[in-house]
Amino acid sequence: MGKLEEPRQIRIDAKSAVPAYEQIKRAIKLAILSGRWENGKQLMTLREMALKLMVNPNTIIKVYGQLENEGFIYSRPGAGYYVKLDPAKFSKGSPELFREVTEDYISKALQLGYSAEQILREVAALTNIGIPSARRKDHGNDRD
Amino acid sequence: MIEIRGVSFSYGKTGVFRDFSLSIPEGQVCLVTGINGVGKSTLLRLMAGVLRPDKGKIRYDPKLGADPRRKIGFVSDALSLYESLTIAEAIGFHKSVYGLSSFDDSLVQHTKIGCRQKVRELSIGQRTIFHLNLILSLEPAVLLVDEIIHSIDAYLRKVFLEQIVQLLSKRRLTVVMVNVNFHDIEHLIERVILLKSGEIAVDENIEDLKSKVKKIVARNRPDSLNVLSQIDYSEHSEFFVYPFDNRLRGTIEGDIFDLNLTEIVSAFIGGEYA
Amino acid sequence: MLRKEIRDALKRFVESMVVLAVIPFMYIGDKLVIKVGLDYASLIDTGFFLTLVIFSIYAGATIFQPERKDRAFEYLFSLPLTRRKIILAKILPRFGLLLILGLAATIVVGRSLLADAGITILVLFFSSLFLSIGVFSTAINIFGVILMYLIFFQGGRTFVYLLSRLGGSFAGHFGPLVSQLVSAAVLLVPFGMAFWLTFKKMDARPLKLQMRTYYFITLPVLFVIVSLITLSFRSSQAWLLSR
Repeated sequence: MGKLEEPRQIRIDAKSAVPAYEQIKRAIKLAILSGRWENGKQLMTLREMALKLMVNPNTIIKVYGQLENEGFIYSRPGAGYYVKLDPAKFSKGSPELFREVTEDYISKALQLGYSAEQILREVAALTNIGIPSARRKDHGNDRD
Repeated sequence: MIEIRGVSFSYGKTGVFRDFSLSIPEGQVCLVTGINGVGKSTLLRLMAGVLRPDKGKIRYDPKLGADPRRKIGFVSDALSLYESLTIAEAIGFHKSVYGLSSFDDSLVQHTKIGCRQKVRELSIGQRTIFHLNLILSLEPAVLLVDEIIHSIDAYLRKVFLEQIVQLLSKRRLTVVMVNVNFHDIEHLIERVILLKSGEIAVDENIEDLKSKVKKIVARNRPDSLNVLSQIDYSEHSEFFVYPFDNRLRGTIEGDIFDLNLTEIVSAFIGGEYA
Repeated sequence: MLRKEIRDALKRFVESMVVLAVIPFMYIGDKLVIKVGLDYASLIDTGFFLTLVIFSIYAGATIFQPERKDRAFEYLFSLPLTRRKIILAKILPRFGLLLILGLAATIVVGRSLLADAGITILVLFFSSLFLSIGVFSTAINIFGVILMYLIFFQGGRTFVYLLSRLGGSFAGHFGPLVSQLVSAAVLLVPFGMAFWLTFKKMDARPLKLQMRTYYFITLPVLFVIVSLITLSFRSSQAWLLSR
């Protein structure tokens, strides 16, 4: 099994107060849980990851360490880190990550100045569901 | 790794530091910043041993050896070198002084510098890279880098930073950087030190700093928070506050934004120019 | 470091040797054009002597020239070299070449050169060396060396005279050589100390900010010596004439 194609997907948002290590961790978790990174696939070495993302290697050490503690990856001493896909985690759909991702989206949208209203509308539009009218304050506006 | 204790320093009548102390642990990547002229370069030079304190002492970890300069790589904005030497001669000189048996000139190869060219004939970018190559060749335990990132092109900048990441991965390297512009080094930095009038105004690790410095966009000044600086627009103002506490989130009137390191430092510095 | 300094010293050497190269042209020029009747042998003697004088002053004054010209002081002080190593690497090649040149000159010209000018050459070399850290241009350095030489010269005569007043019969035993040595020592030892102490403390700051130690030692010494010479000038001249 060769090395993975790497995190073009991982972009660290420098403006976010979410620490860099946390952002990287979430991105990797997402990649694992979504199945994009298969079980048993080898991760980039600490050094390669640090170079690719241009971050302090200590940050990657922290990320890999925490991911290992949380059971997402395992390490073979001297032989690198590998994805450990726990079926249990996978099937539960990882509510914590879901919550994190959702919070992240909502906080960003709020920062942009959108109201909770508009956010709900947007989510509904993108996921093709309707919003119960009882929740809506302004009755006069058009429905999606 | 480096321990500065009670150091005073002045250039003739101009005092820069008075009873200044700072301790840098091994393996830390530290940023020193502040307005122009506050003493950042002077501090770096003191650490490099190129300037000697008028009072106080600078101590180094004994593992650097009897003469710590052997393991300290110092690149200053003056890029001081023997200018009338050719590149080949300069490399030979450097090797003999540091006792290096070999010299990896890959960085120099990158920039297509000729071996017969004299140091003074190089452009600033080439000279910077040459200097960096010299410094990296001695496998430093401490890297002191002064503001030179700006004078080299984006590609070379990346090459240089990659070298630093490589070294950080390989060993315990301590880095102190002086910069005013951080977009590509932001994620390498662990600790931020802001100098003001010869003293340390801020000394935080970068994650804490990011959670403590925020931009609040509102009509009125938030009175429960310390405002570092502000930018006024016709309809509203941007207030840069420190220290911010998350618990105050609900009570503040206005929108709260996170900042990147450049914006954070600008906020501190902006306050000084006001 | 040593290798570089040797190369630099050789460069100064060659530059000073230009004087010798002029001699054949002078001789030929005289033979063909001016016809004054220059004696080739004494021309060579003078040539060697001049080269020695020029090199001794030049080699001492230019000891920090590479660093000044190349703005390399900061680089130099960032290197893992002690001040002692640096100054030895700088002085030894220059002094060595001076000795070689002096030896060659003595062989060519004869032992009289050594006797007459040996100490003078050393005084010139060390004066310009020790002055190099206290002044900011080579030209001023050379001017300073001339002054130092005059002080040394007159100092020798003054010293012999003073001893005769104090020690009586000693004066008879003191040949000119010894009085020259003492005069040189009295002048150069404090300057040497000032030089070394200043260099030891030196860092990459602008030079003029670091001269305090130097002037603190050298100026009083100069003042004392010059006063001594001036005060005893009349009497020492009279005494010397009477012998």
